[in-house]
Amino acid sequence: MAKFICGCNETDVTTFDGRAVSEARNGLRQALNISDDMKVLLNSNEITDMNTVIRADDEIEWVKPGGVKGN
Amino acid sequence: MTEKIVVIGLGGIGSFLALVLCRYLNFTNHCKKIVLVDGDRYGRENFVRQNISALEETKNKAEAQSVYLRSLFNTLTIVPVPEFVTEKNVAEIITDKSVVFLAVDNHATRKIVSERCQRLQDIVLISGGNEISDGNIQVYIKKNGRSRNPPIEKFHPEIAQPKDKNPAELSCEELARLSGSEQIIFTNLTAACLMLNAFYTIVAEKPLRYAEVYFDIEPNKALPHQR
Repeated sequence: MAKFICGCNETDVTTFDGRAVSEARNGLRQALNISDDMKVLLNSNEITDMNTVIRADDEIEWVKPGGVKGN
Repeated sequence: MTEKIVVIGLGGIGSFLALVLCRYLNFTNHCKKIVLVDGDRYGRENFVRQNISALEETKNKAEAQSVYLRSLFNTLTIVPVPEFVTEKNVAEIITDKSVVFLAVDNHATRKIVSERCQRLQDIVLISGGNEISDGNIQVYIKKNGRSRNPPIEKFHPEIAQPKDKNPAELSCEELARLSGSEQIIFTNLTAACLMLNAFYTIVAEKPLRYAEVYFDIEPNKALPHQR
């Protein structure tokens, strides 16, 4: 099953095997706190085509923006 | 061999990080030269979550921390730089064979420091940032002219094209508003710990299996990411 990650949230589900990255984003938006402007990494490589089909052993990460504060 | 360790930002993350870092360095045979960099001054609003005495109010953060840390750790050479990092001074502050801890509150400075580190041959950059309860740390290592992982802005457009300003470009009023922005001491401390964990793994010459770690103190979760 594919793994989906955003920030420190992750989940393994079979629901999106064979479906597009955009469908996974819409389905997991709330659970993983995904927003539309995040970069997407498929197996550590950036992709821009949200119609890319997810395979069972893929890892998809939506890259959460880094924290800005600290001083 | 590390020639110096640079801590940029001596606020919520940096004030705790510097204390623990100096204690570690004082009693080991690693690098003994620490450079503390910050152009800001301590204000009353800082004392709720920054590691410094209220007696230091209005004093420059880098200078106040240098005096404090020298009083605790006498084997170290601690050099204050009471300036914000800018395009003009970055090459003087960050030189080859340094470890840089970046604990600032704006992406404009992160970009300047990252670009400087990419121009060097041997450098370790450990950057941290947070929001209210969550945040991330990032590690960039270049050894013998070869980057071991992508620069910190590679997958982070907020750093590559920062919308904020370098604090050196801000007015006193704008700076005062920044200091009052909401943060929690425990989130700052978590970022500092994760940054020091990365430092320990690198200096102990153990394999670093991540380039970024996201964390959130509410569910008490941290997740390392390879890049």
